[in-house]
Amino acid sequence: MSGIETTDLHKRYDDGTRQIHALRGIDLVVDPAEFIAVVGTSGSGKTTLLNIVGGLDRDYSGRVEVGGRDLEQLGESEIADLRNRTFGFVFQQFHLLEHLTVEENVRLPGFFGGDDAGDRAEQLLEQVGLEDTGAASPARLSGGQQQRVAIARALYRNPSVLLCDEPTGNLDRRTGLEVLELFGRLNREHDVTIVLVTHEEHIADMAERIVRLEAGGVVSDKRSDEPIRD
Amino acid sequence: MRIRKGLQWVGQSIRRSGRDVVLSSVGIVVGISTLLLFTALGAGVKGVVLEDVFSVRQLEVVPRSMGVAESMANRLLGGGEPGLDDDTLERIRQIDGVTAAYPRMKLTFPSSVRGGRDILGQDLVLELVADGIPADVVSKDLQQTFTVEDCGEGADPCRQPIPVIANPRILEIYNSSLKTSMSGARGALSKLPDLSESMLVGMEARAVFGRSFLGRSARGGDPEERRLRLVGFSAEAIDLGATMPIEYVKRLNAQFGEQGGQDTYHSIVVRVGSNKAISDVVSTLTDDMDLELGGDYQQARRAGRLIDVVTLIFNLIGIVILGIAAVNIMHTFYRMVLERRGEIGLMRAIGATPAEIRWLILGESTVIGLIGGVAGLAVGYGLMGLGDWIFATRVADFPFKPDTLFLVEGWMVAVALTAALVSCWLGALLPALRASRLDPAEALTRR
Ligand SMILES: Nc1ncnc2c1ncn2[C@@H]1O[C@H](COP(=O)(O)OP(=O)(O)O)[C@@H](O)[C@H]1O
Ligand SMILES: [Mg+2]
Repeated sequence: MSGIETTDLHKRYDDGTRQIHALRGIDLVVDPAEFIAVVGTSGSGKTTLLNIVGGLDRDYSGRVEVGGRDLEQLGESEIADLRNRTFGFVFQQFHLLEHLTVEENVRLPGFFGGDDAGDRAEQLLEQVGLEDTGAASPARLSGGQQQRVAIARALYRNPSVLLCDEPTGNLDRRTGLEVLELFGRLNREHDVTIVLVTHEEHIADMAERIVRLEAGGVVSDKRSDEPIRD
Repeated sequence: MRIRKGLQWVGQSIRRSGRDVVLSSVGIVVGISTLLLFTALGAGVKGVVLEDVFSVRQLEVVPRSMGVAESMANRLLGGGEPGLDDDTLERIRQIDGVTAAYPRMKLTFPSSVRGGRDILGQDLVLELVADGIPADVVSKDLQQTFTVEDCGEGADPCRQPIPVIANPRILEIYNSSLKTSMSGARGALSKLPDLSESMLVGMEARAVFGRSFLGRSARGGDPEERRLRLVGFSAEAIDLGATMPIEYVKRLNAQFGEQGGQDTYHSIVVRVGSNKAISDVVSTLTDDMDLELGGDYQQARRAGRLIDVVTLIFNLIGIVILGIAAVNIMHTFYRMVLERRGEIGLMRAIGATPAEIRWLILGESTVIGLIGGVAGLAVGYGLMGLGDWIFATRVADFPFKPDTLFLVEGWMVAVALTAALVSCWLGALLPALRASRLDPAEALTRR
């Protein structure tokens, strides 16, 4: 079980002409098995925060700890292993590989990192409600189904944290809510920590805690009185 | 990442890019087939030229020609010219790889020969150029006896004719060139007949040893007149002249030639068992024994070098094609890396290290190299078959015409495959580096 803690986290982008101060001193603690939504308008720094926490962006100042380990101290292969085992990523663009079958896509994390815990693809597809699509091409599935394949892929290594960047951004409202319910279930039944980044308020409402970003800073951090129920 | 999983990933990845793989391989196929074709052609032609045309398995050793200063110094010190004697002959026979060696000795004083009335209608008188070889070198290939007549101790120079052999090339030259050029001559010479070996064998001529147009023997004494009898033709005979059993030459040189000349040979013919042994034998002869090799070998060497140069030029063309193929692969892979930015970002997100990204892309180029290399070898073999077929059916027969122009050896295949792989790796190296350096966060958001 890995908690996440950021201390005075700053991020500056330098695109040659100007500097963008995208994160301005974020102090955030995410406890294990929490379901947290990070909301804010476009450009407020949500994706930047998620990428730094997930070890995809290592160029920041301040301190980020995952499971008590300072990310800065980790080498290239240790951080890759962290992404492989501790985190599962879910993106707005599902990033499925169209030349592979659904099942092969789910198995992709198994190619990297150390030894396999066995092939969980079928089981995971069942868990996300796609039991009969394993041999299909992802291109033949609906958007909601594709995102569920991506979630199954993110779960392949049995991670303790799912980092989800606008996972419903490409889905219609109803499908988006279905995906949300899946996250809720994973959180409740499997104690998976969910960090959900979104700009849609109704999506954030499903989380037990909502952190609001504005211009790279945390402006509010609320626990919802009524966490989601079935 | 384990090797097996890496291969699996590469397999999955390359399945989709069929068109790119084919396009990338084309250059490799052309380059590799060119390399193989011309290397095999060079080796094949060289084999024919060196073995059949020049027969390098037979070397002719001559004494080392000395510079003027060296020669003067030798004289002053009373050393005399370096020579080939029985001792040298014995040492040559001991060299590993040498199967036989025999000496040649020339007549070292002026002599002339008169004859030809039977064929030409009138006698010709010519300067006699002659040498001697051990009779047993050729005697079994001749119909008539080629031996030294035993005249008995102290007997008058024996009255039997001296058996001589001639080189078949003389006949070729006579039949093809001389006859034509004499057709406008005055008298009987204008109607020279075609000659064959059988017409000439048995003919006799009269030789005068110790005197000719050009002078007399320095030793003085009366010239000796002897009959010569042509007993056959052999490639071992001197090119333009007559070859007799070497004992005659020794005796005549002792009588008319320079003092001591009867003990030194003018050359030693060395036969080598296998092509592989030649270079070792040559280096023993030239480096260790300080001898020189006669003209044929030098010519063969020159021909061999010429073939090497031509082969090299065509190989360079093959390498240039491979270079172009590598550049082409580089473009294809750069494009692929660009197209797969999102995929590469995803790979990083699910746990790939930059090094793994690099190896996976190099792995894909390895597959292209292997496919292109094997296809290139296949095309090369096909072209060789076609070449041999055209050569066999369309090119008229000529002396030494071989069954195949090509010689493929294991190392050529190995070198060709290596070249295919290396050019693919070179082409994919920079794109692979770029891919491994992609910022995964940026690659995933597709800015
Ligand atoms: N690679 C980048 N280069 C330059 N500026 C960037 C880059 N990524 C993000 N930004 C800037 O950083 C700020 C935060 O961006 P981001 O984290 O993507 O916000 P959000 O995900 O909340 O929309 C924005 O002003 C954005 O323009
Ligand atoms: Mg964003």
